[in-house]
Amino acid sequence: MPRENEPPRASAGMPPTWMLALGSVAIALHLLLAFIITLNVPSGPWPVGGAGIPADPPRFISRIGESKWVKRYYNALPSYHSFHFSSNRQEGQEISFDGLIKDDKGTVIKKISFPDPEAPSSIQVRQRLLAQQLGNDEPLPPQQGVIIAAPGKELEPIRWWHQEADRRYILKTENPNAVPRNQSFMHPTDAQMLIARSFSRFLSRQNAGARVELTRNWYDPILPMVLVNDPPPSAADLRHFSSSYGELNK
Amino acid sequence: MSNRETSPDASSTKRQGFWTCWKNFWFLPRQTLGLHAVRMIFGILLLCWLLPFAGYVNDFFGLNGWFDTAAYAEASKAGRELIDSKSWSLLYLVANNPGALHAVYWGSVAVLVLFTLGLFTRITAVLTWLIVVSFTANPLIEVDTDVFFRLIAFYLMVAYLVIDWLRTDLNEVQKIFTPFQHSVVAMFKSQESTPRSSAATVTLRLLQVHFALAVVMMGLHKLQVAEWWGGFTFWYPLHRPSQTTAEAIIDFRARPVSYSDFIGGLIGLIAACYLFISTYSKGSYWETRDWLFRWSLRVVALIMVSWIVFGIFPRMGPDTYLHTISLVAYVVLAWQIFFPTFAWRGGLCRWVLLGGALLGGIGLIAIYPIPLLGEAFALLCLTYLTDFEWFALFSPLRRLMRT
Repeated sequence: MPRENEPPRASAGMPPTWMLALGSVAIALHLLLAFIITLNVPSGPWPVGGAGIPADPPRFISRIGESKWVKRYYNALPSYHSFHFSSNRQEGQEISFDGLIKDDKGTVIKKISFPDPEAPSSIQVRQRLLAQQLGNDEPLPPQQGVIIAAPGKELEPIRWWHQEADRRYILKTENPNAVPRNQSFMHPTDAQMLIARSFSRFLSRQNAGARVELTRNWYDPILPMVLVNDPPPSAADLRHFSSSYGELNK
Repeated sequence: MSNRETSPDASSTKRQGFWTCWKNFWFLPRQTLGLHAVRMIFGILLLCWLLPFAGYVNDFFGLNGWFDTAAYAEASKAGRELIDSKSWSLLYLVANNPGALHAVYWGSVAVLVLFTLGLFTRITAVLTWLIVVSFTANPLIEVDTDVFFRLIAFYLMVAYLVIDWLRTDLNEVQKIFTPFQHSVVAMFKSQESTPRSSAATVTLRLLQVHFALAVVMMGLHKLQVAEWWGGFTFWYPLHRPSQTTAEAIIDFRARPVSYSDFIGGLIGLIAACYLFISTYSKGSYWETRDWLFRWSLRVVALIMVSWIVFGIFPRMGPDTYLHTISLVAYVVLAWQIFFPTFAWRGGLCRWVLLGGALLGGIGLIAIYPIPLLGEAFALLCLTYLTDFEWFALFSPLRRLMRT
């Protein structure tokens, strides 16, 4: 039991024993659950075979943590958390995005930036979180051979980032046979596309159904070794990248 | 009740059994000032958290906002873990109607004002928890602060649901609605007339234990992260790529303060801090000297700290700088991982707790752009204060109120 810096005071006004017993059981169960939830999360990601792979939580905890009653209690009282915050990882891309609002002829009439530099800082933080959701591209699995669609059906299109110019990419959506061979590409995740589409619809609604082109801008992190390693980075090395999703709401 | 429980001497405390220790730790009634002060500060933080959303209510929380109905439908399809489909929010009931959404938002602000002022706490505490949960239900825009706010709001709700039921000096209306007895004005009563409550003890203990668990877990999680293990974690928020230029890096590489200069500065800083603290410590040599001497020492110590912090540290050379930020990262890790060993202790440990909370709070505000996280951390550290310390903290305010 932890020591206090004050001696125990008179115990007048202590609740009745049955209440203490009931309260004690509730406290013990509640804190046990809080402890289970903090441990029942994957660790890592750890570098395995060139990729970052999360490892399973402790076996004895996950069995209890995945049980129905624990999940029900957890969902009903969302005051628990694993305290494994993503903000602990600071080495990451810095992402923002622009929405280009266009008229019927495709001329850009307005540009909206996220995070909005005019917004209060606490709002910018949330906007930055939303922008971060547009990160986490994944490598496109290499396309091998020519794929033939089943009779009467079309091939499911796939998406990949195609380099259009130096540090500029566009999103290509075509059938798998159109992917250039012997090259490695990255592609946006489904979650990323879902958010990009949702945000395009939002901008379109705000601008009376206009066409919206979404462009993601990002900077790669600057590593601390730039202070000591030679040569120091040039301005060209620190430029941002951009990648256009095109008009997702058309 | 045995004599051992009421006796303050250490030898009798050692003889207490597990049940008595447990009972005293969790339920021994304490004065309610600490609980009400935590509520009041938390209420102010909540208002600072909710009010900036004023112009963005529909964008963030409406189903015509950033994350619209179609996105929710798509995200909740099988196999997608983008959002927690089992999470709940009262805002979902009105999210399709911007007018109703705004009405709920401003109603929530009004509830938070009442809660902060301590009016009808039995009701406003429950509503406050519902408000905090509802406005933090979307994990896509969840910041660390939201997690701690849900935690504090939950325990305060529990406290204000169970407090005062056993009091015999209140009538039924006062017991059911607790209209004014927890108000801000009531917090300025004298120490003798402030009531004691087991609910206050249980709540503050739960906050303490859960927060200690959170701090240790955060420390352990950080050890899994490469930039924390390498000690470079503070480099990234201090040198954001969008704000760092090649010229700034070249200038940095040319800074003059060497490692030995820096170590000298660090020793000077520790000595100055020790000197400053020891002028306040009971039983120290400096305490026996007259007030003018002590204040002169404090001023000298503060000048020394300022010179080192503002004159030497900002001119650190690259190697020194990288060593320093990695050392600071490990100090933070040590503070977090060993948090339970000092959080409940008095004396020097109080300085470690509150000094860490203050420095950590300032650091979080200055380095990380997460709103109110430093303030929430500092508030949670304040929950470890004893009744005596709360009254000491409030005594200047109380004197001011009396005059």
